[in-house]
Amino acid sequence: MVRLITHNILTCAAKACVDSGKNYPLKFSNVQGIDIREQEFNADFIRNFFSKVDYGVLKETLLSLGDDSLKVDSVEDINTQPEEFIRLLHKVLLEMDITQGEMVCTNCQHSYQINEGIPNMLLGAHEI
Amino acid sequence: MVKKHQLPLPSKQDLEWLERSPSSFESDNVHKIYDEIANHFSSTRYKPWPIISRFLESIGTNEIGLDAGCGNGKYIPLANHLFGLDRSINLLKHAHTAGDVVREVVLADALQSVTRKHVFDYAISIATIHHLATDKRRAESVQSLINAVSVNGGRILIYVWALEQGEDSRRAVPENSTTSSTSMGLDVWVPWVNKADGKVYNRYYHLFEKGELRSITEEAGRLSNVNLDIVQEGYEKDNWYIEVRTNGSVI
Repeated sequence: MVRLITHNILTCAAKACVDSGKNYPLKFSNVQGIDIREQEFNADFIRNFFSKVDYGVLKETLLSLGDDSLKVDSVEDINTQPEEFIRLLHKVLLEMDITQGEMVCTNCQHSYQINEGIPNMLLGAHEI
Repeated sequence: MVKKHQLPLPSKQDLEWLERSPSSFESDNVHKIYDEIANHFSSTRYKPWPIISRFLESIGTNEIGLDAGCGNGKYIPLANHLFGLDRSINLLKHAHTAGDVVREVVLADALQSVTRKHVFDYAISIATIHHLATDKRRAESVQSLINAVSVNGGRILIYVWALEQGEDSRRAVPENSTTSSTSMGLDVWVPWVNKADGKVYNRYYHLFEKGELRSITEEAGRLSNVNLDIVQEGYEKDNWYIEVRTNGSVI
């Protein structure tokens, strides 16, 4: 499964992309399957993990999948956010599962395929 | 006494291949083999080793971790948020449903960083880097672990096969061998007799000698410009392990 929590941390591994800082974010393409997989809600986990989340990328990615449920542009302090927002983040980060599709590096154009829920992040020897 | 099997050594040609093209060497002598033997291998790998269980028990419930070289994912159910990464798609298919729950796993090389830096609270590398073919590559894979965890307080546990095999080991290591491609440790073949086809597959292993794991871990810390504190290190059941904690960037 590729949930948005995973997408939010995955990068292109090609050296040229890493060195130029253009290895992130990957862009979803040809998405053919999104499952909603319910997960136990844990507000502490979301608040704790939020410091690692690139919220701008999360919001933009969600929009690219046709979902505009994240309305806020930026979050200053996650601890002052209402539970409703934390529940929304939980749903977006942990419950949406892209089972079939691609993630494309916008710098080198490498397309990372997601097959049966497993993303293939390998590069050919010439791409490393 | 357990009956011992002498481990075969790579030939001069094998070692020339290893040095000429370590990635194609690993591809043929490690990755392809695990893809072939995945089902049988996975059925023999279900019991967690004590050092690793204890480490995972000490992890906070909301922390997220990376299992770089997760194989069939036997450690993934032991933690709340442990992402699996492996080079063998057929082992990953087992990891994908480890503990009968759909798991987050990615097909990737433990040598490369496929995530943003410092997003994980901890990382484990269990029985993985002994399959990498050179000192440089083994240190690079430790660097990837260092890059993956927090710069302050990120925890890393690495576990590798030891050259010094205990009395209960079924393997005997050839003595006074000079065929190794490296200054420390020893390169060997470890045969796997596969149930499905009865074929013997020789997997490449670099057996670590005393002090070697610490030395490449410290080397990786230097290359990453990250201070590492050693939390524990030692020997357990024919393996060496080391646990380190990051302690800020080197200024």
